[in-house]
Amino acid sequence: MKRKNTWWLITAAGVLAFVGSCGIGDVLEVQNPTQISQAALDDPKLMQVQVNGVIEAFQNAYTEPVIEWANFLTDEVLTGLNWEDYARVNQRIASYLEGPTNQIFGELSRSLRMAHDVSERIRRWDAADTTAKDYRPQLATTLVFAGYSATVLAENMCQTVISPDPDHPSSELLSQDQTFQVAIPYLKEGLTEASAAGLTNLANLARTGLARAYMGMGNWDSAAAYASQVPATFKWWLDYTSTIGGRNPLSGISRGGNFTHGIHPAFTGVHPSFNGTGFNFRDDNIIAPQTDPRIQHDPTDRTGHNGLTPLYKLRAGLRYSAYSGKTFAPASAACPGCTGTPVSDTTTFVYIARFDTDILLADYVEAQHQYFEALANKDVVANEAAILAFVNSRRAVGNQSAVTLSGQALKTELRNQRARDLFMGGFRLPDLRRWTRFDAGNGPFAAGSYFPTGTHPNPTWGQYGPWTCFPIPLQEYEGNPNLPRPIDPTVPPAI
Amino acid sequence: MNPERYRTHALSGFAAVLLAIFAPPLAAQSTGQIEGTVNEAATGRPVYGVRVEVVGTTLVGTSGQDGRYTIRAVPAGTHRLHTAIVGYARRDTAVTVAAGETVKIDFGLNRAVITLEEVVVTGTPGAQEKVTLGNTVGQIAVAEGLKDAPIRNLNELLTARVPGLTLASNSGQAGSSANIRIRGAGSLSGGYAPVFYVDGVRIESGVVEGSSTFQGGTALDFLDPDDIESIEVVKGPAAATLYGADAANGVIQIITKKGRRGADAVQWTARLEVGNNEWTRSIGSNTTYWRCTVAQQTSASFPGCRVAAGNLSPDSLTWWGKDSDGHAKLYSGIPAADIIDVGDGTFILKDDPLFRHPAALRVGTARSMNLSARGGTGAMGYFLSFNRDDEQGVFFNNFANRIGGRGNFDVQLSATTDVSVQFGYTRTHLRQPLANNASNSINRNAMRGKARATRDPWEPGFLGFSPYVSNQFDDQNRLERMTVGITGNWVPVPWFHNRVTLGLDRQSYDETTFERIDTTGRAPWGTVAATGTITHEIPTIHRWTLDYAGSVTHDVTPEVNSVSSAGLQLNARSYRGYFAIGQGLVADNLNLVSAASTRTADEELSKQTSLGVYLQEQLGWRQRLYVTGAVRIDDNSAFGSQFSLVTYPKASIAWLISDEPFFRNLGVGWADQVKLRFAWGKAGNAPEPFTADRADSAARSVASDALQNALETSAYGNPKLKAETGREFETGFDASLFSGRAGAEVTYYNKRTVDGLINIPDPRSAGYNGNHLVNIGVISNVGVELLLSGTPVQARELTWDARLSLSGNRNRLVSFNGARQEVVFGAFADVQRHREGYPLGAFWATDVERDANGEPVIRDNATNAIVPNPTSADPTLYHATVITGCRWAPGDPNWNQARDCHDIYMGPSSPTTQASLTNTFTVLGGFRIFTQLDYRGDFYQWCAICSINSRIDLNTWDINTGGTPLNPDVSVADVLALRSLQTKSHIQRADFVKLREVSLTYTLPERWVRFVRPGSQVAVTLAGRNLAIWTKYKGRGDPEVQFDPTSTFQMLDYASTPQTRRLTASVRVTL
Repeated sequence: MKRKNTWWLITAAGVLAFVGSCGIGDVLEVQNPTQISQAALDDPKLMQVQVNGVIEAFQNAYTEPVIEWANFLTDEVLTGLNWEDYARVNQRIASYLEGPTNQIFGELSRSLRMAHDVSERIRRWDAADTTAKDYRPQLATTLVFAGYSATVLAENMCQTVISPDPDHPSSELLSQDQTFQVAIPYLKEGLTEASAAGLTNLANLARTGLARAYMGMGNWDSAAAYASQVPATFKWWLDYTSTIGGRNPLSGISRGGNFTHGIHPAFTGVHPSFNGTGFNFRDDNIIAPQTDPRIQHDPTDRTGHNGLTPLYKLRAGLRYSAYSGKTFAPASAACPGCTGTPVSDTTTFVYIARFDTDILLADYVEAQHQYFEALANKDVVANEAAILAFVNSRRAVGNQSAVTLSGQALKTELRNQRARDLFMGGFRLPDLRRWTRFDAGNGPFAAGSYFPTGTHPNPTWGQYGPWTCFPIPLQEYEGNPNLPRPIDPTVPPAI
Repeated sequence: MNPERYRTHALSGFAAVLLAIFAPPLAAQSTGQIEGTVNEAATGRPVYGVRVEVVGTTLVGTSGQDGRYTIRAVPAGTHRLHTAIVGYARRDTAVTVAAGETVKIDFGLNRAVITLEEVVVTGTPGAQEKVTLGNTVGQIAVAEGLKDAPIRNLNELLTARVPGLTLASNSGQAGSSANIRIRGAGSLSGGYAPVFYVDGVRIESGVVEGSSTFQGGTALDFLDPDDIESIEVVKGPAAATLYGADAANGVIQIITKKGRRGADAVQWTARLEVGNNEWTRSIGSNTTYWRCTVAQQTSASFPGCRVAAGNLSPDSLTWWGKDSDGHAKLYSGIPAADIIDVGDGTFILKDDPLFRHPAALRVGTARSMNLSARGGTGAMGYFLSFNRDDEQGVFFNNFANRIGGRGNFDVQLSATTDVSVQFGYTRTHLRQPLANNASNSINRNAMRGKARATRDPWEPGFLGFSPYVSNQFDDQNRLERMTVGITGNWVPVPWFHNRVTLGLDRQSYDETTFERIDTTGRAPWGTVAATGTITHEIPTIHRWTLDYAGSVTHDVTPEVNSVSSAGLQLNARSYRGYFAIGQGLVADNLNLVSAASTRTADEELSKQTSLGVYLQEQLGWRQRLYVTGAVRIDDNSAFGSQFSLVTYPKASIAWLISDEPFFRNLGVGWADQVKLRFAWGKAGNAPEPFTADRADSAARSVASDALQNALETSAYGNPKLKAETGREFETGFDASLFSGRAGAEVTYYNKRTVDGLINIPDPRSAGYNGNHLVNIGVISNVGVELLLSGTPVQARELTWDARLSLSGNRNRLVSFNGARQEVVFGAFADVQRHREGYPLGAFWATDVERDANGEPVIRDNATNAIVPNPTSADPTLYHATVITGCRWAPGDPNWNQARDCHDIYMGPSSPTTQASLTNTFTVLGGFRIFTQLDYRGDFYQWCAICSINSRIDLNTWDINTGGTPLNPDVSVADVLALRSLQTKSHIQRADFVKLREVSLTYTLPERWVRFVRPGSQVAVTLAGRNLAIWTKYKGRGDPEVQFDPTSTFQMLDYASTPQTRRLTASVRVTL
C-alpha cells in the first residue's frame, strides 16, 4: 500500500512539474496584431506608411482641436456646446485642467514628435542605403510637417515643452518665439529637400510655413521674403474622404440636431472695437454680410446644443473644397457690388464641414496676406498702393465695392479681408495674438486686445475672461515629472 | 417496468449517452446501497436538497422533495456518512454495507442558522468545511432561502445579501448592469470588480456595451436565478490567494443546481410569474418651473408665457398630455393649475413632462417562466432547465428578454471517480434607450425643459427631442452565451483527492443600431443618419479555464492530521470584435450593410492569459485547531517584459475554541460552537492585456480622396508593469448559539493594496496622447462585518427566521508614493478626488464666499453670474457674482487665492455602512412572508443635474421663487449661489433605506395536490420589489443608481432611471 501511495505522489508531482516547466512561456505568449512594436518601426519598408501617419496626425490635429476648438478663444465662432470646459474656452477661460488645452497641445505635440522621429529614421536609412534610392521626398514631407506642427503649436500655446526623448520628458519651457524658432529649421531643411527632389508644391508649403512662422515672430522681412516666392497657383489641401477613418473630423460641426458652432456677431464687423457701438446679438443684421461668399451661414438662428446660445449655423466658405462660388442672400436683398445671381436656396451651400470636405492649409491667397501684412507692418504708408490694390482685389471676391483707404484704416481693412479670406482656416487665434502683441503703441487699437471682451453673447455666461492662448495641460504635468505645475490655474502664464 | 422509471429514463437520454461513454465496470457484486430519508428533527418535515456523502469517496446522494435519498454502488465495508446543507447542522454517522444489500439510514436534521461543518468552495479539490477555514466566506442559499423572492437576475440576487459586498445599480432600466465591490475599492485603475466562477469555470462578468449615454447590458444576465443552488463570496486576498493574479478583489462562486444520483425519479418544477415595472413618483422629482418675466410675456421666444398672459391664440402652444383614460391627447395653452401667479406681474409655469407626456413612461410588463427537471437514475444525476424572461422597462424602447436552458449531468463512474458536465446556453435580446447624459434621452430632456415656456425645437417642456423622437432610438443587442464545464473527481485512495475542471465560457453578440431614413426633413439624428444607417458590432469573447487541484490527507500523529494540496490554474481570455457600418440605405426594410451606399468594416482583438500554480499545507490538531499555509506563483501575459513571476503567500488559523475543555468551564453552555479565525494572505489584480508595450498602430491617411495605410503612435506603455497586490489580514469568530437557533459571524479585516495600478497621462510632449499604467498606489480598506442570524420562534405553526447583515468599511488612498499629486475628476464638474488620506473618489466641493452668518457674499464687479431681473419689464441683466474657487475668478480684483481656492471635503461617494434585515415568517405551515430592508449610509451623491438645472436651465423651484414672497427660505443671494459654479449645494448626503423585497407565499396543503404525486407542492406568491424608500437625498433621482456603467469611481445623479417598483404574482409547482 505504501508503495502505491508513493507512486501516486510521484506521478502528481511529475505532472505538475512538467506542466509548470515546459509550457509556461508558450502559454503566456500572446500575439497582438493591433499594434507594432517600436523596434519593428526601424524598417525602410515601413517608410511610406510612417510618412502617411505623419500627414494624418497633422491633418487630424489641424482640424478638430485647432480650427474647431482654438477658434473658441476668438471672435470667429460661438459655441452652443453643453460641455462646459469647451464653453468656457469660448468665454476665454482656458484652464490647464480642462480638455481643450490638452487636445490642442497633445495632438500637435504628437504630430511634431512623429514627424521628427520618422525624419530621423529616414536619415538613418538613407545613410545606410547603398542603392540609388531617393529618400528626399519622404524626408522633405516629414520635415515640412514637423515645421508646421511646431508653427501651429507656437501659434496656439502660451508656452510649450518639446521633449527630445519620450522616456525623459523635457523640463524646459519654451516661449512662443522659442517655439517658432523650433519650426524654422525643419521648414528650411524641408524647403531645401523638397526643392532638390523637385517637389514644387511641397516647397511652396514650406515657404508659406516659413512666412507664417516669421509673421508670428514679428520678423516682417523674412515673412515677406518667403511669402513673395509663393506662386499664384499654389494650394495645399488637407485631404479627407467621406469614408469612416478618413473623414474630416470637423464634420461634427453644425450637423444634425446637436449643432455646436455658429458665427460670432463680432466677427462680421460689428465688434465694439470697430464701431464702438456694442452689439445686441438678437438684433444684429447678421444676414447682410452673406453677400460675401467667404463667410456663409444660415439666415436664421437656432439654439445650440446647450439649449441657450443662439447660433447662426456655419456654411462652407472659400477655404473649403465644397465651396460652390455662389452668393447667398435673398433675391430681394440689396447687394451692391454683387456678381452673379444671389442664391436663396439653402441647399446650395453645404455646411462648413462635410465628411469629405478638404481644407486649405495654405495657398497663394494666404501667402499674399502674409506678404501684404508684413509690408503694412513694416510701413503701411510706403506700401499703400500695393496694399490697397490687394485689399480691393479681395473685396471684389466678397462682392464688396472698392474702397480708398490709407494708413491705419487700410491696415484695418487688410485685416478685415484677411479674416474673411481665411475664415475658419485656423488663423484667427494667431492673428488676434499677433495684432495684439505687435500693435502696442501703434494706432487706435494699441490700447486693447483684439479678443472679444465685455459680455459674452450667451446671456447667462457673463463676462469674457483674459486668456489669449492655451496653457500646457494637466496631462503634461502629470506625465512629465520634470515640470512643476503652475500655482494658480486661473492666471495665464507670462508669454 | 415501472412507468415512472421509464419516464425518467426517457428524459435523461443525453445523460445515458454520457453514461455509456464513461460506463465503468461497476462491480455490482461487491457493492451495496444506502438509502433513507432526511427530515427536519423538530417538525418532521422532509428536507429537500441535502447531500448525503460517503466520506473518502465521490459517492453522494441528494434528498428529493420527499426527503428520500439513495446512494448506489457503495463498496462493501464500513463507511462514514455525513449530510451537507446550508441551514442545518451536519449529521455524521457510520454505516456498514454488505455486498448486494441495501442499508437504510434516516437523518433528522436540526436547524442551525450557522454551522461550521458547512462546506465551501475554496480553490482546493473537494469542498472544505468552514470549520477549517481561517477566513470567512459569505453564502447565499439561493435555492432554498430565496426561491420566492422577487428576483429576476444575478444582480438582484447579490444585492444586500452578504456583509461587505456592495452592489450599486447603474440604472433601473430593464437589463442594465451594476457596479460590484467587495470590502471597498481596492484599486484605482485596475478595476475592483470581483471575478466570477460558475461551477469552477471562470466567466465573463462585465458591462456589455455601456457608456455614459447608454446603459448597455450585463454579462451576468445569462444566469437564471432559478438555476442557482447557492452563491459563495470569497471576500479578499486573505481568502482568495489560491485564485491568484485576478482575485485581489474577491471571488464569487456560483453553484448551479445538480441532479440526484440514484433518485430513480424526476422532480419537475415549474414557475410562472407575471408582473409589471413602474416608475413611481415617490423617487426623485421631475417637476420643472419657469418664471415668465414681463418681457417674456410678449416675446415670440416664450410662447408659453404669452399663452399664459392671454396674448396669443390658445392653439399657438400645443403639447402632448394624457386624457382621463391615459390616452395621448394634444392640448393647447397652459392649464391654470400649472400657472402660479407671483403677484408682481410675473408668473411661474409648472410642468411635469415625464409623467405628463404619453410617450415618456409606461408601465412595463414582466413575464417569467422556468421549467426544470431534477433527478437521476442509477449512478447518474441530471438537472435540466428551461427558462424564459420577458421584461419591459419603463421606457417604450427598453426591454430585456432572455431564453435559455441548463443541463447539468454527473456520472458516478466508480466509487472513486465521478464526472460532471455543466452546460448552459442563453440568448438575450436587449433594447436600451438613450439614457443619462445622452443629449436626447427622455429623462434628461424632461428634467431640463423650461416648463413649456420657450420655443423648444421639438416639443414644449422638453429640451431637445420630444419623447416621440427619442423613442425612435433603436439599439438592440442579441447576445448568445454558452458555458461548458467538465469536472472530474478522482479519489484513487481515500487520502488522495484529485479534481480537474475544463471550462469554456463563450459570449457573442450582435449590437445593432438602426437609424431609419429621415422623413421629418429635420435630420434629428444627424445628416448622415438621415440617409439611413445600420451599424453592427459583433464581438466574441472566449474564456477558457483549466484547473487542476490535488490534495493528500495524512494523519501525522493520532492527533495531528495534514492536508497537502497543490494545483494549477490556466485562464485565458480572447476578444475579437467585428464592426460593420452601412450608410445610405435605399429603404428602411433594405437594411443590410450590403444594401448601403457606404460600407465600412473594422476589427478589434485582445488576448490575455494567466497561469498559476499553488501549494497549500493544512495541519489540524485534534480537529479543533487548523493551521494553513499556502503559496501561489503566477505569471500573466499582460505583465511587462521587465517583470515575470509574482508570488502570493497566505496563512490562516482556525480554532474551534468551543471544543476546548476550558471553554466548557466558562458557563456559556448556550454557545454550541465558537470558532476563532485569523487569516492573512495576498492576491493579485492583473493589468489589461497589451498595456505594457510601447507601440504604434495602424491608421488611415488620405491622399487624393483615397484612403491609404499609415502608422501612428498609440501606446506609451510601461515595460515594468506588474500586477497590483492586495494583502489582507482578517480575524473574527463564528458562533452557533442556543442549540443552533442563533448564530453570529463577526469579522474585522484590514486590506492593503500595494503597487496599485493607476493610469497616469502619457507626457504629451513625448508624442503620446493616452494614459499608461504604473504601479504606484497604496490603498487601505479596513472594516467590520457582522452577520446575525436567528430563529426567534420555531414552532409547528409559526417559524420566524431573521437575519441581520451589517458592514462598515473605511477606505483610504494611503499614498501615491510621491509619483503624482491628486487625481481630480468628475462629470460636469471636478467634484471627485483621489487624494491621499481620503476615500477613493471622494466628493470635494467648492462653495461661494460667505459672510460670518453663512450668507453668500455678492460682489458688484465680479464676473461669473448674471441674473435676469425678474421684476423689470426691461430685460436688462444685472450682474452679481459669487466667488467659487480657483476655477472661476478671472480678473476679479477682489479675488484672493488663499481665501477663495477652497476645496471642501464632503465625504465618500459610495456607501461605507450597509445593513440588511431580512425576516421570514412561516405561518401555519403554508404561509411564508419574506421581507428585506436595505440600508446604505454615510455616503454622498453629486446631483449634477441639479447643478445644471440651477445654473443653465433655471427651471428649479428655488431658482424661480427665491427672493420673492413665494419662497422666503431662499434669498436673492441664495439664488446667486445656486446659479454659480459652486458644487456644495448639490453634493448631498445620500443615505437611504429601501423596502427592497416583500413576498407572501402560500403553499397549498400537500393533501390537496398529492393526488398528482406524493410530495408535490404548489405555492403561490405575491411579491414586490423596491416598494418604498426613505432618504434625505434631495436630488432629482434615486440615490442608489449611478450614471456611467463603465466608470468605476465617477458617481453622479444625472437623469438616471431609478430602480423601478416591481409587483409580481407567481406560482411554483413541484411534482
